[in-house]
Amino acid sequence: MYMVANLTGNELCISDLNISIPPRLARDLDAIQSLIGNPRDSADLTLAKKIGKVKIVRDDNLGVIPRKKKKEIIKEKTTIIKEVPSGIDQQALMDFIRDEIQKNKTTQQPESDKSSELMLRAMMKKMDKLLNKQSSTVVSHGSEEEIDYDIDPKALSAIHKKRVDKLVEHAENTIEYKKESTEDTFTDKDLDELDNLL
Amino acid sequence: MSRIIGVDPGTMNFQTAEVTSDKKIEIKTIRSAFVEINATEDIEDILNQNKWHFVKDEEHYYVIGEDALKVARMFPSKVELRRPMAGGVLNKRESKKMLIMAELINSSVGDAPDNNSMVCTCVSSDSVDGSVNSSFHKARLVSMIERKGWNVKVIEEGLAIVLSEKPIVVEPDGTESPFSGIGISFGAGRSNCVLVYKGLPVIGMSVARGGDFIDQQVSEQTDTDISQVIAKKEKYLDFNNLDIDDDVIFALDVYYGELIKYVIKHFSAKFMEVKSEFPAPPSIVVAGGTSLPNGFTTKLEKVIERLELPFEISGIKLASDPRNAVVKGCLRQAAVSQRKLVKSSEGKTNKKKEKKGEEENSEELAS
Repeated sequence: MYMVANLTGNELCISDLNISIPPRLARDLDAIQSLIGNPRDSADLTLAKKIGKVKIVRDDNLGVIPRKKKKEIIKEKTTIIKEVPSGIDQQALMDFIRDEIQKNKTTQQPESDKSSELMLRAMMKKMDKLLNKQSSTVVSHGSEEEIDYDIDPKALSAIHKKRVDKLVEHAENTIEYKKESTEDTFTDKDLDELDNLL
Repeated sequence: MSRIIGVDPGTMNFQTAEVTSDKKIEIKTIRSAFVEINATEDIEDILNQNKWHFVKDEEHYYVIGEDALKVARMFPSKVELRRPMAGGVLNKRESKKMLIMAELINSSVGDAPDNNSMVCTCVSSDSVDGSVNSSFHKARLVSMIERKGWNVKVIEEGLAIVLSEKPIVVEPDGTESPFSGIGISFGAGRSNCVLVYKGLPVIGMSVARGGDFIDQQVSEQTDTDISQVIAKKEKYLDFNNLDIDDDVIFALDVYYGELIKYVIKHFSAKFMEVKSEFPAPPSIVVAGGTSLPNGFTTKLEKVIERLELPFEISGIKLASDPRNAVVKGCLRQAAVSQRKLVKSSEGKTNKKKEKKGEEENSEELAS
């Protein structure tokens, strides 16, 4: 099984395989391998994967590729934010740098005061930019979103079947049932009537 | 020869129904419960000597059905009675649910004899009280039957009751609309309610309350063991002749009332939401294990009388075979679906033949 999900809102054509995947739907390309060849060798599919238009949901050669749950994404976002220095009080950092420069200034000659002042301002400006830049990096991490997609019902059914087959591979049973026999009151006329209604 | 089977994978019982060669319906029933027992050298001998039915999975043994209850009673602290189904769906807390359910299907339904054989099974309607959704359960169930080569049709449990009992609505002009009415299934884990018109479900809903809810509440309120509550319910509960001096019986009456109110109120809300209009008042048909006590329909009538319903009803009726009505309804639907399947495949074959004939004719003309 090689399940490929189209993450876009439009129908996606994979030209070298001569197939299209409906929007936000996953298809098993291994199931049609006899018609299209090995999908793993497709250059167009590799490109679509690279630019984020498709996602490989399941590859039997690799196993299940888990879909990120929304909770996990939120958790991930939180982790990134914690690692970034935005947790440090920006004002405290600025004060610390200012103090350090002031200390240096007192040890320097008075004629260099003007140039030191200019240097201080330039440094503070740079620090400001740096901190702002770091904050915006965090935001871009947080804005990543997992696009939802459905799996082709036939493929989904095949996944379920495979799972059950594996589960009962070594199973055997001696189950017997309590049996009762009742009159069948449902006549052929009833059946015809229901058939016509449905 | 093609086979047609109805399957009802209930929380309490797993059932199948099939028409036999002598035009009777054979119903197979097994308690939907199991216990795991430790594998020892002579385990299979012990199981066979006791004639206990079991599922073997490599080194693990699971006693199943009524035998599981016997084993659980014999070793109350050593084995735990487990269920593959809970609240009308596959039991999410049970790791062996799939194995047990798949083996129940293997042993009862088996392999399809041909491409035209049909199984119809049922699931709960959409939940209206925030309880479990049955989509995943449905997908698993279908896959377990399809892998044995069957065509599968799935219907709502309440619809199965209507198909089984064939209630009729008499319209103002006197015409009769068969397979029209409200089917309510009071099961162990859930209660299902469907309004059907001419065989088509119009409104369907389910709630996560059934017989188990009543047993549990009565057990808690009267401090009585749940097995004793069930025993009393099955032996002595009669709504036409209540022994209100008995705490358990009195509590059973109260909680039966609560369950009925809960189901009907939710159904009324759903009815208002859909704003459906029925040409004439439909009747209610009830079935399911929880509807078995004597006088249940009288109790239902009394409770409904006190409620202000947004629709009229023409009467309340207990299904002719309340324990088996759902599985019989599934069998009816399976028969109709199989007929349609055969017609459709015959149609396709005829088209192919016609096409082939046309091609041959044009070849003859060309030559």
